[in-house]
Amino acid sequence: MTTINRTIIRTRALALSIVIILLSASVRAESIYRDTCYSLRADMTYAYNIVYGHHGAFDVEANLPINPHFEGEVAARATTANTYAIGFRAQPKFPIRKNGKDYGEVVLETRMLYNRYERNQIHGLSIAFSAGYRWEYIYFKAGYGLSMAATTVMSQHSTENSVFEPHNLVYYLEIFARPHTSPWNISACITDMTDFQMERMFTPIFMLKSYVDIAEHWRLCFSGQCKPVGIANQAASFFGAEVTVGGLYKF
Amino acid sequence: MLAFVGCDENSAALFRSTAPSVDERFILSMQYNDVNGYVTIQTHDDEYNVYVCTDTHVATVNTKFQAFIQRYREDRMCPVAICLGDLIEADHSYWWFVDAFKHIKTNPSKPDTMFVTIGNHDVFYNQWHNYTQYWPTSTYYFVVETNGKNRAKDLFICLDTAQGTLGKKQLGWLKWILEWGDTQDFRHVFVYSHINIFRRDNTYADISTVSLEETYELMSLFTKYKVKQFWAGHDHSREEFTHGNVKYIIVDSMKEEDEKPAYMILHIGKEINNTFHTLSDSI
Repeated sequence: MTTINRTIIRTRALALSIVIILLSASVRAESIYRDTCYSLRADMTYAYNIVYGHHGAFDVEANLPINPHFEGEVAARATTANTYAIGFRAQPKFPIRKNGKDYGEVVLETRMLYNRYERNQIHGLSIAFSAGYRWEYIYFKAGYGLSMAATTVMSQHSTENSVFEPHNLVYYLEIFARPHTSPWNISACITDMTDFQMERMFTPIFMLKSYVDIAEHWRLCFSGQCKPVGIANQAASFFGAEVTVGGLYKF
Repeated sequence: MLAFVGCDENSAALFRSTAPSVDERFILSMQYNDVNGYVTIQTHDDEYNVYVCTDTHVATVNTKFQAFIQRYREDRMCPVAICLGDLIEADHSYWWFVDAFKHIKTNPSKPDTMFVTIGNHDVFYNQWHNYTQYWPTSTYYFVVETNGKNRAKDLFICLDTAQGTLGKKQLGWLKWILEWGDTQDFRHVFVYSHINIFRRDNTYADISTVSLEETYELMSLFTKYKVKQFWAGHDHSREEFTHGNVKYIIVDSMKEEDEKPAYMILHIGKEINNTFHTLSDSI
């Protein structure tokens, strides 16, 4: 066996060991800012907006806290307004600890969202990169987003028929009534990026969220959201609202 | 905080709703339209010009707007001009906007009609009542009929997006009018409003547009009913973009302070030709 081959084998063995250690560590991972367990959530939503009228939605979401330094999420939605979405989120996390005391964690997030507006024969892809900070009562992120939309009618598909919207500021601010580790909580949130939509920066979505742990593995979740349009330097107007009820199972 | 920016620098305009709302303005507009009908403009030739300006933001000086009026009145091929909203900068300025027309002679040899659409600055200070003293409707359509060798008629639809949305009632009306227009053998269909519906470059940094749902709904409606062009203002920066055989145009602003106030001329015949001109260009 040559020296190079031995080096390659040792490097791969070292890398594999690191991965195994990290995965093992995740079993005992402690993060006070999110549940340590993998979880699956299903929601039912009643919504109304000016364009779609009254409609409903069914969402599923899988939360994947791989280890204290990385979490992922996959979410999907189908609505009776004939629109669909699937989103992915990857979030490295960097806990801040000093003298055994916890001072929150810095988060970096990459979010990718595919929307299919089947009713309009349009689909779109949005990507956002943000950085933020999370502690007991607060969670905020801000960054850069871009999106592209195109017709789903292949005969019309061309670069000219694509709408590219770069230069979007994405932001997320959530304030909690209780620490993250509480068995119940209420929070208020303002953002332009939800699990299923990445709006333009001057169309924020206002949310009120809550959850309550009803058993060791079960959590009930509630949320309401409102989207006005025309704020900032226009005359404001109501556009739409949603009410969501869901259940989350922790593995 | 970015959410607390408003047109009125002295107020926190996060939720500055206006009275009446877009649905209420639509009802009032339809009440006027039902009684008074819609305008039809006759032209002698098969081809004609339409002059389009936007965002004049008239406060107390209207010289640049006067220059625009002079241009379209002197063009013997132009029977109609359109201003795409933000007619005035702030309250109590409609008088100054309308005053501009008095300084320029009309051309008696041709029709002389200017249509306007309402912008956010036109309602921001609850001045709908003042607006309707000069223009009693904010949602309407008009038709241009050509009486040359090849008689044709073109449909122009005006939408009120002053508050960043068409509203449920107006959106329903738009679907109806496009469906109706599809049965009437119009040569071309144009739609215009104040708010642009895309956010494609960084000139949009400090303004907002409609919601995503509304953008995609309008795109699919315009494609389905073969709208030729959609014109908007609001952004103050020219843009031309085609999607689904619909041309989306944002016209430059024509403010007094603009270094190069500009407007658009459409030459409409069997084909449509858009050209852009600054007020310093000679025609």
